[in-house]
Amino acid sequence: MSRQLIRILGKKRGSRHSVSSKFGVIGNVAFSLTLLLLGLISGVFFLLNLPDGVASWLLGIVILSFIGFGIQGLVTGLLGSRVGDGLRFSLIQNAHRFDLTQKSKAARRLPNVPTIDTLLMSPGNTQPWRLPVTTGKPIEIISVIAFFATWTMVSFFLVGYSINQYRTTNHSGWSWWLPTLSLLPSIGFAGWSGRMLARELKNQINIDPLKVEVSHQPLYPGQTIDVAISQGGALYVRSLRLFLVCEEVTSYHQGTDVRTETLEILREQVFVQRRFEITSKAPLAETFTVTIPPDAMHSFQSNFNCLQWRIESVGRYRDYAEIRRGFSLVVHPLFEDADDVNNSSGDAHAV
Amino acid sequence: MQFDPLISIRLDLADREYQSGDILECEYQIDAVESDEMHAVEAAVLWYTSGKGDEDQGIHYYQRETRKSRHLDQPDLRVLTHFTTTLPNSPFSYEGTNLKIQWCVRVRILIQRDGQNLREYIHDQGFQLHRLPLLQS
Amino acid sequence: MDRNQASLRASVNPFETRWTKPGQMTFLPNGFTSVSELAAQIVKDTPRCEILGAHGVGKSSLLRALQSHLDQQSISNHLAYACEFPHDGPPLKFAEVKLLLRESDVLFVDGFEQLSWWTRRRIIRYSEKYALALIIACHQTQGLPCLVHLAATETLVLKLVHSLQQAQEADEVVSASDVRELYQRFGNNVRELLFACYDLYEQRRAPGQRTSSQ
Repeated sequence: MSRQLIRILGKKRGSRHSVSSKFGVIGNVAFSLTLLLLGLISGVFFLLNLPDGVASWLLGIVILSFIGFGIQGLVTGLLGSRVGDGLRFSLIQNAHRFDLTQKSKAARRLPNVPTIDTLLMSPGNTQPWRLPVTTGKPIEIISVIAFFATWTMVSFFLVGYSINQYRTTNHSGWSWWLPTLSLLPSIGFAGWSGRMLARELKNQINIDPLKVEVSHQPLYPGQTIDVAISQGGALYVRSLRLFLVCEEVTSYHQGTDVRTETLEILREQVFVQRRFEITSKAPLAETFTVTIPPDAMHSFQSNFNCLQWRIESVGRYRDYAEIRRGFSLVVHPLFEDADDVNNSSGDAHAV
Repeated sequence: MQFDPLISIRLDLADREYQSGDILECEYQIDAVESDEMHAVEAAVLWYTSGKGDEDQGIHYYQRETRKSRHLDQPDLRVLTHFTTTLPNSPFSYEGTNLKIQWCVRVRILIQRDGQNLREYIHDQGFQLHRLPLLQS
Repeated sequence: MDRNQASLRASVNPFETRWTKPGQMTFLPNGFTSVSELAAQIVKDTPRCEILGAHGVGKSSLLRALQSHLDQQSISNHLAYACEFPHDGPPLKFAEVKLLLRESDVLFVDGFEQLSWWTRRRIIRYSEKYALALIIACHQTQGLPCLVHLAATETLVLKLVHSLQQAQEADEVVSASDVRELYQRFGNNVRELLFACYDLYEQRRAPGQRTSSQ
């Protein structure tokens, strides 16, 4: 049954929605953007015509709340959508810097090996584990939103101020320098940042993120696992390649200098498909195997050095820029009490 | 002229290649220094990183003895001392490009000779901590 | 500290950061006679002065070397870092510097420019007011007399690379012509040059020189 694009009452049926999820994201973004712009415009007029007394406070609070909810709606809308996977993961990872997992049983059993956090790992549809995205562009998106909001507000303020000046002063006394010097650049900045935001949103909303699911976690050297990938949307894919990547990340700091270097020590192509179409009736769904090299070093994490494994996807699409995403893997060392490699599968337990 | 202290460390396995869970047996002793010059001796089993990044270190086993902490019947810190420890499951020894992980037994002594400040001397004996042989499917 | 390393590894990369970081290498003077003469000058004149130089030229290394000389002469000194990285603790505050100036005969401050303009002015004025010895390391002048302006010459870098390889009893894998080429590329940034030497050494050392642990 195809989904209606617009439906007044959408229902969740198990894991399916009866309404297009893209519509939900667009609607959320549009609503939040409207709130934000209303707040900004009202704020400008409020500043130009400040009322007296309690009314000014009340009005100020209402306007600030419009702006706050607008920004919050935009950010959480992106976070809550599929496109927010990277941001969500980054935020959780940052929170985990203060986590006490190092004192957990898993950390004591395998010192300096990253633990598999079941909070980050969600069950997959076709395989037991769905890998979280580790790369996204969260800071970029927030920066673009903030930049757009700032320059829009500045532009509206300058327009309002200029109009106010024109109306309240004698026309002969109206100074031309303010609008000439400042309006055009600020409107230019606002327009340019708006275009950037629209492009980012278009990229993120129109391209469903690739989902990667694996049959086993944690992984062990020499182990072969099943990997399932899926992607929806409406796209023409020039090429989609997946790589198994291992990197050494080393940080050096001395006095005022900090230098972090990432060196790839393994990049093995594990999947490639070229020139195909993804449609709502024919989404991408492929399964293939990946073998961790038998002489692989396990994942390692310390203060200034780490060795990390991931699956990296590189997708080239018609009409869109190349998209790269990383999906974190944890490779454990083989030791006597390790779970039987063949059975280290989909039970959602912490190691 | 005075000789620097000589710290000798011996591990039970001649090839110094261990696997996780193995018991490491170590003996050490100190020579070329007088007993009353010895202030303290520390022994540790640790890993450290080297390469292009700052050094990280993880101590798996540590013991420290001073003249006061030794038994009255054997106050000499220089004598042959033995300890054992069960090696952990990680991290394994690793010889990468920018990152290397090395294990060692480190013995550090603090001595004070006449008319001199307290000085420390350190000696490391490296060993390898390996993975298990591959499981056969 | 004396350390003897007995290791299973057939060869150590002599350009690892543990051998090249400030305090680990013997400082090779350039533009002045010797570190001990500089140290003697500091002790005699009790100066407020600065050590200038570009990124990676060896300012921190010189500070460490001076510190070591003063330690040997039992002159109390302290090396403070102004930097703000989390793993080095919070940024240096004026109150801390005041205390350190009072407590030590000589205070070294590395990365002086990382402090705010106001903190820098206060520190300098305070040290002038009470005639306290302050030696700062910075990239650009802070208005103090210049103790030494460090610059890395090709000769110095050749000597440094050679001594590093010799110290680890390593083969002369990085040759003089390699160093000249790297010097053309990195100039005064000796740190980056040594990192490049590290990469060269790793690329060239024989597979048999790695251990069988992999």
